[in-house]
Amino acid sequence: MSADPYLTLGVDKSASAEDIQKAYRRLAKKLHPDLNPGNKTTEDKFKEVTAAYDILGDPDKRGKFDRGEIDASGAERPTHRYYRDFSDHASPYASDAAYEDFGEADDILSQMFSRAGRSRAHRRGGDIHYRLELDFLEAVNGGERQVVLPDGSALDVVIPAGTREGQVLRLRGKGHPGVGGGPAGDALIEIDVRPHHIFRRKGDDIHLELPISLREAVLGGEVIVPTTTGKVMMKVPKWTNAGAVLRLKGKGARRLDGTSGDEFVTLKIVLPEKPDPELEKFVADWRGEYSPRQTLET
Amino acid sequence: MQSRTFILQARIESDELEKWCAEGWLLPRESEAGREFSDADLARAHFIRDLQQLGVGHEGIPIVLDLVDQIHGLRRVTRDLLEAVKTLQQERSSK
Repeated sequence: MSADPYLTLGVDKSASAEDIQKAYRRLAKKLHPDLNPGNKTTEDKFKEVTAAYDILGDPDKRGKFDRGEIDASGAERPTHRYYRDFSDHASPYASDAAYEDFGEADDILSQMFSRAGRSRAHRRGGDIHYRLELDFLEAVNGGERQVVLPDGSALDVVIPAGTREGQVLRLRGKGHPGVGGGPAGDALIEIDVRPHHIFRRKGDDIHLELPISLREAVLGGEVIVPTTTGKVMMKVPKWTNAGAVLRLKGKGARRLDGTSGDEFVTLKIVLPEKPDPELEKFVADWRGEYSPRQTLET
Repeated sequence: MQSRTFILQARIESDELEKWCAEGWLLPRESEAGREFSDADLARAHFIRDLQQLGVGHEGIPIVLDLVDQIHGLRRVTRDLLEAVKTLQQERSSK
């Protein structure tokens, strides 16, 4: 075994911890016995590289080695058998997937190819895929739903708050049962979210357009604003122009980390439904002038 | 071996073992007495740990394990084929 771990890893004595880790990983990936099942010589080299990293990857040990307090032989790991040594054994991990498509039923060779079948002691069951359509508010606020399976049984599904369109919920163990005592697969539920007639979701934020009256826009006022969790009161500032956006912090959709996005309310000034003669007269007499289309003029 | 011994020899935490079994990375035999781990399971656990230390992320581990299992299958079949071919050649040359 090389007495110099720096030489083994191919790094300078002044190498940073990051360089050392990179060098170790680069070598270990190439030399790991389980990543080289056909190479018998790789195991010794791999042990050397790992022993070198045991010293240089640990700041304490590296310091001690640099000061001459320990030597390279101090880093012996207890040996264990590598996974490649078990590749011949009958095991639930045996896979014939790489050659499943070779050979036909009557071939002598197919007897060889199907040998893996006999050693399939027990394996995990397959996953089952479902689609579930949720209401907008159900998805944003979360809830519980019952999914009826093809065999008639029912599955209780918890819908987490903030579930998005296209998200896949995984229910462990609710898929096909395992073979020979192996674990069951999972149920994978793909979520479709129905659109809402006033709320729109963009990322973790909820957007909506709120009509306000002429009086509310000019003089300001308090308005009731719908949110996904109920109505709230908001103050419309005096002299609010069309397109102004008010932000309700935390009234958006829930994120995985527990925080929530925001609700953005775009205000839209709306005239009374039926023409109002008093208003018409007032506006006609009004002597104020302003050019709302100034920015459009080129 | 039982879970407790396995956790000691594999040098992982018990909640980590739960996760690996739930993900299907390890498939111990389940019985009323609990889980039975084989030597192959132990070697596989060491391999998973080594892959993590090499920087393979959570999503990559099952991909690597599956490919390695496929390779083991291929090696076995290739070896059998080579044996069969060698036998055929010997039979032919002795005629």
